[in-house]
Amino acid sequence: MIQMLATVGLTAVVCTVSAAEHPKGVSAFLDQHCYDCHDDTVKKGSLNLLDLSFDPDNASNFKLWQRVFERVRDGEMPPEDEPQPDKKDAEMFLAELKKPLLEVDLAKAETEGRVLSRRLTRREYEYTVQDLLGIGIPFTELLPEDPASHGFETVADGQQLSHHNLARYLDVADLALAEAFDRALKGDEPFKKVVTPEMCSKRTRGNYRGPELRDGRSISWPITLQFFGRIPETTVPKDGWYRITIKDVQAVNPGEDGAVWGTLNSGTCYSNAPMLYMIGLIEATSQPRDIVYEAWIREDHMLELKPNDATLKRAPTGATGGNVSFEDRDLKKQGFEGIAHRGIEIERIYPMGSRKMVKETLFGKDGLEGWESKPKAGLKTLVKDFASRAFRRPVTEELVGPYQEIGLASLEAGDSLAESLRSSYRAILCSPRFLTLLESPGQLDDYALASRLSYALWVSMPDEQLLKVAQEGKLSKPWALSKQIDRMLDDPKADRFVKSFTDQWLKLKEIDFTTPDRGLYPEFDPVLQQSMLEETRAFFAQLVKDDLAVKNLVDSKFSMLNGRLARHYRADVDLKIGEGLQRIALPEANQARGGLVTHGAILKVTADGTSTSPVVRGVFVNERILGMHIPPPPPNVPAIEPDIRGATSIRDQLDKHRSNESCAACHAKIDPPGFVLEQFDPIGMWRKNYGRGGKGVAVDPSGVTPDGAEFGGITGWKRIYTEREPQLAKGFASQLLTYGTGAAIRFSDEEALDRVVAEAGKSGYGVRSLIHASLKSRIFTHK
Amino acid sequence: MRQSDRRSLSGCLIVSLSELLGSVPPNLLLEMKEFANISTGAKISRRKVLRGAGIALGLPLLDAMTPAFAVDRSTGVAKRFVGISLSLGLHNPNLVPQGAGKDYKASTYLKSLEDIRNDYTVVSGSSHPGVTGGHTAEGSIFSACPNSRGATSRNTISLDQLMAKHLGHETRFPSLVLNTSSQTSPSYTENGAMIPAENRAMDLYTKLFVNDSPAEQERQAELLRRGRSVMDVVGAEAKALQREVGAGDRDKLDAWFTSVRELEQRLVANEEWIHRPKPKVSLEAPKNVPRDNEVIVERIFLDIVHMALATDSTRFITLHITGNTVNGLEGVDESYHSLSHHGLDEEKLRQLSIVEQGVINEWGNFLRRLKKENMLDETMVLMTSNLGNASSHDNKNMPVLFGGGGFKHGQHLAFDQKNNYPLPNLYLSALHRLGLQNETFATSTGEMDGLTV
Repeated sequence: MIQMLATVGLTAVVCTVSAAEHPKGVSAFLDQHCYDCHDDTVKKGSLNLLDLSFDPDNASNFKLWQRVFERVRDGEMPPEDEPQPDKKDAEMFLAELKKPLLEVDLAKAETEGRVLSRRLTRREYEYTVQDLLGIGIPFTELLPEDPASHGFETVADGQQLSHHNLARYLDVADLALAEAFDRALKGDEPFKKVVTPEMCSKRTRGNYRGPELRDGRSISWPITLQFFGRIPETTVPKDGWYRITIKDVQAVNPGEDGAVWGTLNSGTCYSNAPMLYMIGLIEATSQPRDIVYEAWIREDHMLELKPNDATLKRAPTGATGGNVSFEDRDLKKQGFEGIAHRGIEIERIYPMGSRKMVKETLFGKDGLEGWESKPKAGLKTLVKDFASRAFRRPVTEELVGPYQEIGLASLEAGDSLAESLRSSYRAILCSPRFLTLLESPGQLDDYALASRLSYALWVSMPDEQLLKVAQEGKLSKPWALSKQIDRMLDDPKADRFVKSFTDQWLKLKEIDFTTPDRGLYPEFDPVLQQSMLEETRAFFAQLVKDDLAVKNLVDSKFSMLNGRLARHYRADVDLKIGEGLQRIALPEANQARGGLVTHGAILKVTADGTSTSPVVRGVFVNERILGMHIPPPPPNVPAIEPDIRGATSIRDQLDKHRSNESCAACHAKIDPPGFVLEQFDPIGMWRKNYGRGGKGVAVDPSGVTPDGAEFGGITGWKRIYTEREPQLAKGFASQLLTYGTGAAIRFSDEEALDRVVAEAGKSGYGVRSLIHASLKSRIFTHK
Repeated sequence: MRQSDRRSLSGCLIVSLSELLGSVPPNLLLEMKEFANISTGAKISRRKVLRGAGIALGLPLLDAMTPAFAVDRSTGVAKRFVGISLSLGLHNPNLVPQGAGKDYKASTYLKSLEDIRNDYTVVSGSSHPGVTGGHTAEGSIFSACPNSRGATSRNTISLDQLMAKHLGHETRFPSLVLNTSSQTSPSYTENGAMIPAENRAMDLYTKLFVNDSPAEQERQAELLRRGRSVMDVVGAEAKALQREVGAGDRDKLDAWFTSVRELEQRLVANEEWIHRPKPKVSLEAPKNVPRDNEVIVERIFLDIVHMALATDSTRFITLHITGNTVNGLEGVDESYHSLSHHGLDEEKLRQLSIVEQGVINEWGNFLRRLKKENMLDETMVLMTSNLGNASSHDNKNMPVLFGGGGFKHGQHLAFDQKNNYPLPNLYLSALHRLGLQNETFATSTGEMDGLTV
């Protein structure tokens, strides 16, 4: 395989078509079908093919010809109202044009690689340091945000480095090592506190915003005051991970669905700083039970527990000046819903690694004591071991020499072995060998493949077992690779993949970007938002786990719901109250909710807080689900002013816009899914009409797909696309491979991508099968 | 300095740089640069020429901060630049005045600035050519780098960083990159890397005006002592990797090497300042930053910015205003972003104008203060946004208020709202006003029409 490709690369060099001259067989077609509009006088769409040289070695020239190829291939050019080419002529033209383009692109991919120096994202950095050192600091907050390119933050093209980044790497390396060395040398800092219901409602100075103490239980009520539900006694002494156990959580006056939904947050909860970190949801039922959470809590932050369901009746504050007094009030009797418990236990934990593990990582199996008499030898050995783990491959003496030098110089200056090790480790954590994925052109060696695999499926460095397979030279064997992919997908660390991939692929990380207008969408609340995120992640995890068909992205017979979401979707389903998210068969009446595209989270991230845009949603569905690339709008097309007053529909506004011919081709693709999803408002609720309170003009979801299939609404649209599994599979595989390799799919990847689809087709286009086929394809196994 | 530090190429040149900075007064340094560049017949000693040549040789290594070669003192009357950028634009109908030129009629938003009418210019109908993508165009606010949605487009250097690169060497901080809320910034380095912003007012204040604790001083000293050897290894590894991983990666690995050099230079430059006490100011440290009132947050940041300029701690600053919570403002109960998507709803527009008027008034107050202290003529103060219309995510018709810098103001430069005038022309004018002689900036076509001194 490799040999063959190398030959192709070679031919490309030998017989490159001379610049300017069009390949044989291409000119005639251009003359007959293109030059009428795309010549030096008409220049339709600013494209003059008559004078466009053929010089695919030049990147921008290549792009133009690629675009010509794709538009003719996809039947977009020549346009409908022009004479259509003979099928055979078009095929010949495409074949003739494809050949030189493919040769040039393959040669380039072969000599340089598709992916150029991909750096760890801050998310990957955090998990890597966790797995390497056994410590759990949220580094994502300390490193600059990674810009997304082609939709993914992993894409190397978008990553730029400056001395500002480098300074940050130095800072966070110091922080990580300080934490690790402190634990190893000084030990863990135990902290455990039992906060009784009495302590929960201890009055402090300032406005009282704590829970009510009643019959030995602590009760939080839905009161519309910021930080209502804060519990100062839960303040933690230091940054760290804590296990929080809330005892005997029980609903007070639960509504029809039998649960009261709330949130557990941490924060300073004082002054006007509403910076709260969500720890988790609370689903309180009439059955008392303990609920356990694990979370990173910052020094001096406290817990805030409260019912947080926007559909609950809110209690008035009850006293002047914002104080909440429970004297002479009986909120229970008045029917307000609340959350009761019998105290909170807070305990410091170290979930990322035991002290023993941290010690062994830093000082080896024998510990510092073992090297007391021979610190130099100790330093050399330990630095080499650490470097090999951090660099994710064996290191030579020569390579590790400069890193050892730093520690040796420190020893010479009289520093302790521990201190000297730290100096060396610091350089290792700032090294490009640690911070980038090193890949040489051509097929990846086993270690590079192990890293790529591990960052794709675990968002972190490979574990010992994966490195062992690499060391044995087996990883590049398809059966061994398959086995590892299955092992990794079944590992709890695959949750990171689900989160990281859906965060980027489906833009879930942007769910906080806009806050829905409270006046227009009063049902929206933090519980709902969190439930939506969990639904989409859990749904995707199910597709992976059970190898469910890729058509489930468009339509499915089930979804992952909790009570709050079922209520939001107006779905009358049999849920086990108190058990959070569960796999639920969708009733006939809610079939519109089947499939990922109509999940609340997707509808929310593709809307702003006020209105929806069929263009935004249409582009999203095309690019992320249907595998259709939509180029940016041509310059100087005025944007459409959103109008939520209800008198005019976005459809009417867009109609004017689309009458422009240069807009029409793309809008033929964008609009159908865009308009179909207009049936859902910005928080994902079904709507029949626009405007405040649904009093505006009616939503018209009907349309025609670019290739002429008609549909009347969401069900019809879904039916069309569930039957197009190869298209969906190709779309999914290209997203996954862009994410997993760190480079967008390019011209010469098309054939390999088609093979991925064919391979997965053998087992019914299951998502897990698609992951397997993608990660085994040459796109993934080559730089 | 340790012997080992001198081994590598970069270490060696750093030594010479630190020696230079230590022994040559800055103005002479500049003068020598001119000698090195312009070969004149002036009589200079052989030693001077040699040292000048030394600097010239060192130049490619001084990308981080290159004192300007030829600062034209005759036009270089302005010294500072403050760029304030809004992530959510300004509602154009409330901002753009009726009438052009001197006799424009103040718009709704500009009525409150009538007392300083002659100290600023309002520009309409201008934007950055080729910049699209709604919110994602944030990176181009000060770089004006054309982009295209989805595809890669490596950013280019932002205006403030270009200024700081040439003129930032005289102050403790070459530039400040600030954000009222997040760490994102519109300030980009030469190779297109975003500079993470300082987003905590308290930390900013401490950085500027509170002398480092002994522990921090120790860390700084330690960084100088050992950080450099770390950087030497990192730089050497980047070089070694260029041989290992092939030609395609060369560019990226070069960025490692460049970054290492630049960080080393920063460390060295810092050494100069570590032992000098920071300026004492009357401004108190910001204790309670109200997170629900973006206007107050802007005010707190501008108070510190003002003090940073007054103490000459820096001369080039960007402040990106991105906070989303504004319900602490009287009459507002929605979030900022949600209001910016007003969809022409009357109530939303009413609330939005409260927020935007507040933001503009703070800009005006900042101008007034600089004016009172006779700093305005030397300080260019710009307020703009990537969004001309946040409701439709349109990047055309950017809002532009430009004050100070000794320009003739008091006018409305009204360009074509349909066929926009290139805003990079304003940036070129600003560069020239500092005495920098760039011929272009990004897609500029010349200095800005109608803006004169």
